[in-house]
Amino acid sequence: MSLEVYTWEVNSNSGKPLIFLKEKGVDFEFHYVDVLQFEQHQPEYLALNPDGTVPTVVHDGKVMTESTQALEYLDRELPGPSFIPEDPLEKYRMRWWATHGASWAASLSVLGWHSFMGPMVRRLGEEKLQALLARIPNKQRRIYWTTAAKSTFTEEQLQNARDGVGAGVQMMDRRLSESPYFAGESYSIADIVIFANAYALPLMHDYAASDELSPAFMDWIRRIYRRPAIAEAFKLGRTPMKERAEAMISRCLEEAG
Amino acid sequence: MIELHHWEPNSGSLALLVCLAEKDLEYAGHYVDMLRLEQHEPEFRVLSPEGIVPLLVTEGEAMTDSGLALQYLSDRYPEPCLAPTDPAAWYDLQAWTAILDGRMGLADSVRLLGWNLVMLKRLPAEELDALSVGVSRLPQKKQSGWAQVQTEAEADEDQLKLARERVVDVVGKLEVALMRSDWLVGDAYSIADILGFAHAHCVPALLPDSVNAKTAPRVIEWLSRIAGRDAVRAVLARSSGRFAPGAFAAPGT
Repeated sequence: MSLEVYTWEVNSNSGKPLIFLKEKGVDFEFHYVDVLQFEQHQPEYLALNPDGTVPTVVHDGKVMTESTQALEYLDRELPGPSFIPEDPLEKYRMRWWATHGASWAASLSVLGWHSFMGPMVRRLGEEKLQALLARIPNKQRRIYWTTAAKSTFTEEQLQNARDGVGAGVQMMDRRLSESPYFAGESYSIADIVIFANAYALPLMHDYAASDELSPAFMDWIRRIYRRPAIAEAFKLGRTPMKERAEAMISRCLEEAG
Repeated sequence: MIELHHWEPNSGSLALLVCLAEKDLEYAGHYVDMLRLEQHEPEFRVLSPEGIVPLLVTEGEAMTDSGLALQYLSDRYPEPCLAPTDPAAWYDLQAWTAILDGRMGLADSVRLLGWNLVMLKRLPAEELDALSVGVSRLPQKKQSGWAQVQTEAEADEDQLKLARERVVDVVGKLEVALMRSDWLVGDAYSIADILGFAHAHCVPALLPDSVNAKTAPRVIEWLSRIAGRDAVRAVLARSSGRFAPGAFAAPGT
């Protein structure tokens, strides 16, 4: 069996296969794709994934670029515990939450680019940055990245983004006050997908996520942070995102005694 | 007990109507007249606060995502089989669902084109006026995040041109996929074909110059193949024809 994962940090789409495979307990070959150096738009990577998105998962020759959908495939093909509920209704809920439950992350991404990614990529210098942007294959993504790299967001866009994150946390909080996990009684792919997007909310966005504003969501995120696979996955990180998550893991473990 | 709130046999409504017909499932159908904004009436808002049509209601759940509702139907009612059992083909099915239904996917672009190229031209003026008054009274949905950034970045571009490009791009992907087999995933007709047909069946009529038997022969044949199925024929025949006679009919029907 061969299993290769081309991805970046345990963050957003990049993080999904890393967390999932640590949960499965399956070994894989990890190829770090440095998004801050635009390595996902290099010809070698585009040969594998013409859209230039991360992650790409390759299992015995099957190339998968849809990060959420790849997890269902991996769940069924690999040994280890399953993270898909049996019941068709719970399965629908898992897929609904995996597809729509982190749609607020588009707002989070704007804020992340503004405060972190934008300054990091601007260190490359104007000339190099322009050359890298011009190489992005998909027109829509080129518009995203150009806007993002310059971080020319208006204050109104930033405030709308914060409101979008706030509304997203409330939606998740309502669901998690009905059931312990997104699909229902058990931890599933939906929780992994949403956690990969939501893990930094209590650290960076406490205007939206806190014990006062979203108690059920905070309880859920602490439960996920305490899972051993989460600590294993974050060990693969190479940016300050890793340290901030590890500090949160320690805090959650201490609180639980 | 299954209830389906649907509009005309097009897009998500068409997909669910066809899937229920192919599986010969009993259901209570409710026609929601979207041109009268019935999806925003209080009775409907109880089921879907955002006024989403189609809506499949079963087991106490109001399913708002039609692509995922198709997957639910094939899990809950596996016979006759309309989904691959092989995990690799199932991945392909889900990946197609994302391409067809996802944000800025085929469905969104076709909707924009259909509205501008067909509906606006064929609807009687008084109906259009009533509709725009109705729409102006609805609470405005605020955009945020990338949706807002993108909309503003694209504001100066021709929206219809962008939609056309997106549709032609997806049709190109369909054409490539159909080189491998007569069907989108695996080797048999499945809910991926149903969803693809539901969103693409009117594309040759909408964009005759860019999507036709010369530019996309396999896609045209595939659409005809699906349109010829008894279940699909029966569902398409339910079109009221009131809005866009012919425009939403596939070649060969």
